[in-house]
Amino acid sequence: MKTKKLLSLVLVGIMLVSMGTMLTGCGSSSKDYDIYLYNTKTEIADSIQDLCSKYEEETGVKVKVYTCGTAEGMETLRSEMNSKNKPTIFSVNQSSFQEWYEGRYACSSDDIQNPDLKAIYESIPDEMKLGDGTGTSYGIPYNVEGYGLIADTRMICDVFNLENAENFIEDFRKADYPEFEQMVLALDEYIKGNGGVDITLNGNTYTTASERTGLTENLNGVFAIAGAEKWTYANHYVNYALSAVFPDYTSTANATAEQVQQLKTPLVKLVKELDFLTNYTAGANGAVPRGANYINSTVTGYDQAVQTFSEGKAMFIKQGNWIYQNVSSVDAEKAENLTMLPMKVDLESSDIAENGVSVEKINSSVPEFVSQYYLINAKASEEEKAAAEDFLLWLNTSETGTDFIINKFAFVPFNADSSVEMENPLANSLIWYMQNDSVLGNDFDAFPESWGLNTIGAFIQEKLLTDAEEWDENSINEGVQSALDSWINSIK
Amino acid sequence: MKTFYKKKFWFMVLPSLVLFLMVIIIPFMQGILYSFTEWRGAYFVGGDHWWDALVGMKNYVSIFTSDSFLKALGYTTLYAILAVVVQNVVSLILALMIKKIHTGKGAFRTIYFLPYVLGALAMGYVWKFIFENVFSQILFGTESFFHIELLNNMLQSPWKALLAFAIVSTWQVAGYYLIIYLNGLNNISEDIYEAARIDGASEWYQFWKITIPLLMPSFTIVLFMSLASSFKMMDLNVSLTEGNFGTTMISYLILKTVRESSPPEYGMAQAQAVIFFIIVATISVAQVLATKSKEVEM
Repeated sequence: MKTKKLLSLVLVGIMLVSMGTMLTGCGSSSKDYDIYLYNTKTEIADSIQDLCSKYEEETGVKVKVYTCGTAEGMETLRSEMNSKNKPTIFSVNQSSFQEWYEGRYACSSDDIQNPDLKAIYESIPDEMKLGDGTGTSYGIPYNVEGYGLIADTRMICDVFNLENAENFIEDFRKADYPEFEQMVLALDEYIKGNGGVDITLNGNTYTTASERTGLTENLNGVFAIAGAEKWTYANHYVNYALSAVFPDYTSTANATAEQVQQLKTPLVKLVKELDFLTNYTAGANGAVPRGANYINSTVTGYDQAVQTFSEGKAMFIKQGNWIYQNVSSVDAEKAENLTMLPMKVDLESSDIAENGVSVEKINSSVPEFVSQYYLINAKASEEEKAAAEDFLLWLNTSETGTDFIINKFAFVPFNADSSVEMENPLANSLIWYMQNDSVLGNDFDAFPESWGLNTIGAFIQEKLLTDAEEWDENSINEGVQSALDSWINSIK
Repeated sequence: MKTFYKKKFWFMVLPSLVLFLMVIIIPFMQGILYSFTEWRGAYFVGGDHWWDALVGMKNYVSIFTSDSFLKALGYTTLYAILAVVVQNVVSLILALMIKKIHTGKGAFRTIYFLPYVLGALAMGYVWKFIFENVFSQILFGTESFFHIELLNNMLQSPWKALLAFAIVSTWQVAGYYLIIYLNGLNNISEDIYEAARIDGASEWYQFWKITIPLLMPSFTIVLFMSLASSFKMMDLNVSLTEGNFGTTMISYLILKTVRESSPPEYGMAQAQAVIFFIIVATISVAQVLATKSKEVEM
């Protein structure tokens, strides 16, 4: 009995002590850093830590880094902002910027004391600026990302009997939609064993080879499509329709009901194009027909689609530069030979709204965007803010900093010029499009939060991709209209 | 010993009381206050304090004027009814079966209990694979030998998904409820059954007139637990369907309210949570009162 009594007292004691430390733990906290950097890009978690150690070596300024992925990252950031030691620099993407702007956490370029850093804030091209639409700049871009039709150049050479793919790439970039459609049909024939078909791209003739080669013998479809991933069509594909109506991010965010309604024709046409494209879907074990299995995440998830493409079972994948790592882990040589081509859309000039981008421009460009921005916390102490300014300037101008961005983070700098050569060929493609004025906005973040996924994306996934027959024109019209109505209803 | 506990009652209870107050009661009260404000999680719109962001009943009004909340509430209610029935019937039948056998009681109890200790979310993903691939491709698909449309592509229709949720949740909790029912059954004295048998009562009659009334205390607790957990169910909703095909339930909807609005509408989500709490509390209390009144003493 005595031992029991003793034990219970000890346990109670432990509980009280631990609660005591919990309580005091919340209150007092000593600062062991000069700058607190809150990072939400997990792929650079280790290298950004190295970067900060380098910075401490060079300047003696201690940077504490905390990395947390985007979805949970925002929730953790919200509580960090309410703690005593709030982040000095934090990272957000375009769509969550409004939150920190409204809460007055975002330092604008006008608040920046350091003239050199201020100049960088102001030098960001308008379409990449994080702002309220008035031209003020609130963040420094992490990098530039983009998406388009990705292909293996060696495979292009084999399919079309070419020495190198350069002319093909050039012609493809200028080709229009009918030429693209005819190419898809020729590729489908090629995969079925009927080569020797002539196609034209940009007016030049290409002929599919009559024999399959080692590289192309695995092909079982033209495209690797991730039917289970709504974002691939609800955001990245629908974005082409946005380009046809809205000139930029701010105008998409402030769309009027009439403007939203103008999306109808481009959207309907894009959905019909999807009806065509999804007939040529490659899979792990042979072509994947539309139906219940087409949206099965163990069959057409993102990883599965990238895997199918990496194994040479699909000719193209409509994805972004971020697939490089995954492709590389399956087939390093393939990864070195990737190129990004513009997606083609079945639109005519009459479908384009007054402010929209021309059909030729859409068909020859790729959407590019800044995935995350560094923001200086306006509520941090003046001392910390000054240190943060120095750090961001160093990161973007010093030799060590820029070397880290390009080589360690493997990021395309927002101000990349043609001298920048990256290891990832897709990143080099992105730089090429930037240099040649062939970039589209990536303004889907500006539509009502999750509108794409919950309305048009759900419609495409649940009603269309599961339907093996040709899609009914009326139901496409209805589905698109009901999606647009939900956007219109959310306009305040 | 008894006097020791009596004397030191408050001292012994204090730690749990403080903890309960700190992590349940205070945040709960705070949450009610915040549901009347435009709260963003990190800050209040228009000032540093909650009273700067008061919006009155705005959050509550917009909940009842939006389809999504009412739709999710309806769907959750349907699920709760189905799940409570299936879970209770299955666990009671299993308990009655285990009661009857003489060897291997412990083994069966352990086997049925096992799913309960596995992580619900992780098992949801395993079951998703089973529904999508084993059920739809191998066992019950259109090209399979046993083509059963009800069990084919269960996660691609709100009605079939309801059944899928019930199957997985029953598989998970039946072993736990079984233990409670088994304990209740063991507490019913054999003498009563013997007396009934002498009087010529059939097995069925014994079940309705003896087992059910005397098992009422177990029903009270199991019904309460299954009702509350079915209303609050989220892990399977996330893992099996992600709320697609119109299968979003209330708990997931509250999470999505925050994740799918920018700036995040924490105040609105809080108001949804308050309404949700009132509904679940009312139903659960009504159920406990109803079943308690049916409990009999021997």
